[in-house]
Amino acid sequence: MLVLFLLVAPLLQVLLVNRSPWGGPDLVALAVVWLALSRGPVWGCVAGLAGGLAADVTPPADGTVGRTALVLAVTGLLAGRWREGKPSPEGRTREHNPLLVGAAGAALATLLQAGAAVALGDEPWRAALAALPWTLGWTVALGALVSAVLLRRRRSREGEPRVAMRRA
Amino acid sequence: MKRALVLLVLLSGIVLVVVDRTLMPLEPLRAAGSTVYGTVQSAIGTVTRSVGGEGRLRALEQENARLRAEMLAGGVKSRPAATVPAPYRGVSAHVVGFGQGRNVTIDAGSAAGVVRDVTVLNADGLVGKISWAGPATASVSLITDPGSSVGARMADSGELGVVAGVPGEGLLRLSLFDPNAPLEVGDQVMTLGSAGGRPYVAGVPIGTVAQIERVPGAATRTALVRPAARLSALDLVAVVVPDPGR
Repeated sequence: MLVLFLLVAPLLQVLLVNRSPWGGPDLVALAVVWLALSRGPVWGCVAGLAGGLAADVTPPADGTVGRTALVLAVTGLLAGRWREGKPSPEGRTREHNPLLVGAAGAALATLLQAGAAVALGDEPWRAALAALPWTLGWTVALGALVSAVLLRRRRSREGEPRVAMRRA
Repeated sequence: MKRALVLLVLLSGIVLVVVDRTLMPLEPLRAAGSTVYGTVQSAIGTVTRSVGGEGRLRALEQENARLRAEMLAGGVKSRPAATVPAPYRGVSAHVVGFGQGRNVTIDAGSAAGVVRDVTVLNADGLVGKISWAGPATASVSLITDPGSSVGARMADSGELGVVAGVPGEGLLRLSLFDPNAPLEVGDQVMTLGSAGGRPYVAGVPIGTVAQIERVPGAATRTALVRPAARLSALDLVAVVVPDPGR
């Protein structure tokens, strides 16, 4: 389900979200963060590369190919890592609050993307800065909300017997 | 194993960026993206338009025909001093995808004769130029893109200047080369035109002066210009491509 969303996210972005006059979330970044939260850092990293590459080549994107791919791969890896947390001495891993990790992952993705666009010379910094607050707000809000819902759903499924654990 | 996979993924991301920036642009990847995602965009655009009904289709077709006629007759004629009209051909297209406010996708590509760096306009005025042409779709860089600059001429006084995008506001900034040039709110700004009509043909309306900026001691006269074309609600556009067969 989330993988499918990752593949159509670049399309939805250019067909619907970017049309809105009030700005909108970065759907590809959100898909990557959600995948990283529900399936772990390795999934997040691979999903970041695949989704980012798709976003890079979906017209009318005209920036450097691989820019979004690299940024989202890093984001997916970090978000997944942070979510898993460090194993405590008792042998139990303490998971971080999904609401917090979702919001932080979304913010990280948005900021890194703007930074990379400016650093690679694809956008003048003033243009990147002008669009940033709206995208950041939407992405962080959606990231936090849906991450919490996803994780709650997964937990309730894990509570039931004979249900595949890793599917979220 | 997992660590190796992660490293491989990160490394391939870096390699992609480096190759695209320094060695050669990754055109095949872009073309593949245009073929897959661009085709779906065009298809969805076609479906949503056909849902709009027959009357809307006819209105668009009429608008299309008018545009073509207008363009082939040449907006160039209004200024006899402009460059000799090169043979142009109009390609009509629909806007099917929107980037982050600076660029859009149209559903005509190199198969229809669209090439890089040619003028895109609609019935109201200048829209932008083609920044990249794929097989079935092309990307248009709008005139509101902060990186764009268009040679401009005032319709009334004939003064020359440059129009550039202003980040985030949907307005343009006009800089007239003569600091003492007459300038009033409501003045029309047209394109100056380049040699051979690329990237911009001459005589296309860019917009009207909305606000004059007074900077003491500035070397140029600047003003904010409202674009003639509504760039946030684009649908039917025309691409002016060079036509060697004519």
